[in-house]
Amino acid sequence: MRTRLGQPATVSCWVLLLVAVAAHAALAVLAAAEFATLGWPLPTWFDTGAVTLVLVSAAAGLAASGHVALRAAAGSRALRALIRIGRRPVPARIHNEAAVLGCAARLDVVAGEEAFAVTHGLIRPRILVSTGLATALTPAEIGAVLAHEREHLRRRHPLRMLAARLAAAWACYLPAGRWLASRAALRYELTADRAAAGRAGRSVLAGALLKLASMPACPAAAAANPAGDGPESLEARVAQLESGRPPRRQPAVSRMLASAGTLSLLVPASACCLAMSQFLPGGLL
Amino acid sequence: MAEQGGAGSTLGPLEAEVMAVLWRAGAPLPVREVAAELNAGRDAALAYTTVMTVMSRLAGKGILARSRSGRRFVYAPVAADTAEIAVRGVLAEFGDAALARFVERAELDPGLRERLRRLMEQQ
Repeated sequence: MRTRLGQPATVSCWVLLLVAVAAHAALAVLAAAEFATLGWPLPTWFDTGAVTLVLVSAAAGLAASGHVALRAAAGSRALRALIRIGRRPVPARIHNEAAVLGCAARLDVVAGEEAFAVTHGLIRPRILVSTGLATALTPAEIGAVLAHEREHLRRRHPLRMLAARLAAAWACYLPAGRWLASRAALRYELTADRAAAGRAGRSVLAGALLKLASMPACPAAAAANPAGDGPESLEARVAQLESGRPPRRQPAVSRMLASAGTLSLLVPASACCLAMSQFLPGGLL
Repeated sequence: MAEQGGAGSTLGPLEAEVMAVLWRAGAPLPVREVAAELNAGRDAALAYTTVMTVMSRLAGKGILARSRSGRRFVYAPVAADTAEIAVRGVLAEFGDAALARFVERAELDPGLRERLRRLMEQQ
């Protein structure tokens, strides 16, 4: 296994983000207790503003995370319903490749001329492909696609992706949070591509990517896809296939500045919120 | 939510009729011909603009593909049946939520296409 530069930095970013989310939630409880005990407004406008800011930003985070969670739940329910309705026998070409890879038992096929392959499900993920995949791709290319999806499956990428999106949604006031989530999505794709290239070969994987990405874009799908995650992600995947190394991606300066700006408001507000807690009946935390 | 019932519920009644006409035709049709076909078995004729609105909404949802043929636009179904439309609908709606998709369909820019082609030819 190749060691990847930038991995420790990414891990510490995630730890920081999770700690920040947990601290923010705890502070919001404190803020609510302060308003409940001391009344509104607090003695000075500065305290009132700071504690309100903490409370409002946490409420926004909770709402955004809740929205992501509900959408994910609705999505997997809709997908399960679809599989019940649209399931087809697995075409021989697909079954053979899946059997070689050992993922035939975790594979569903639905009717569809449009070729696609997705991995879905949080606890027991499964692979879903369309019957169109068997006609659009050669057996070797089907093998590459399934090897890619099997890697998502083995590493529970849908679950990890949801966790990343939940954390990023909570931290919606930090543009860096969204950047981290989109970066995680790209990293999972790159990991799965390396597995697929190792299994089927670079040229075969390139062929599968070329064929499936060339199909005309569905406007609704393009709209649902978060900005900057389509062509940019494909560009990085092609770069990895060419060089054999995962490419490095730099965060946009504007995002970093905006995140720093938001933090420079939130951190003093949090400090103030913490300081105010001395007036609570139980004293300082 | 519109997508809950699965295959049938992603299309409205008029949308389903439009799709049935296009599937029967097996070739791209302009709005006027679809409207004529719909009105053939109908007491109260549908207005041209009504059919046009329905069809452009279907095109907007990615269920119909619109292309130019001479001076007019023609529409063709992208999916082969309602089950396939439902699959597309779920992928479009929730593709970003909890799925890991092999690759997004995208307007592949010529540079990337060329690089992929070169990779394909390497052994």
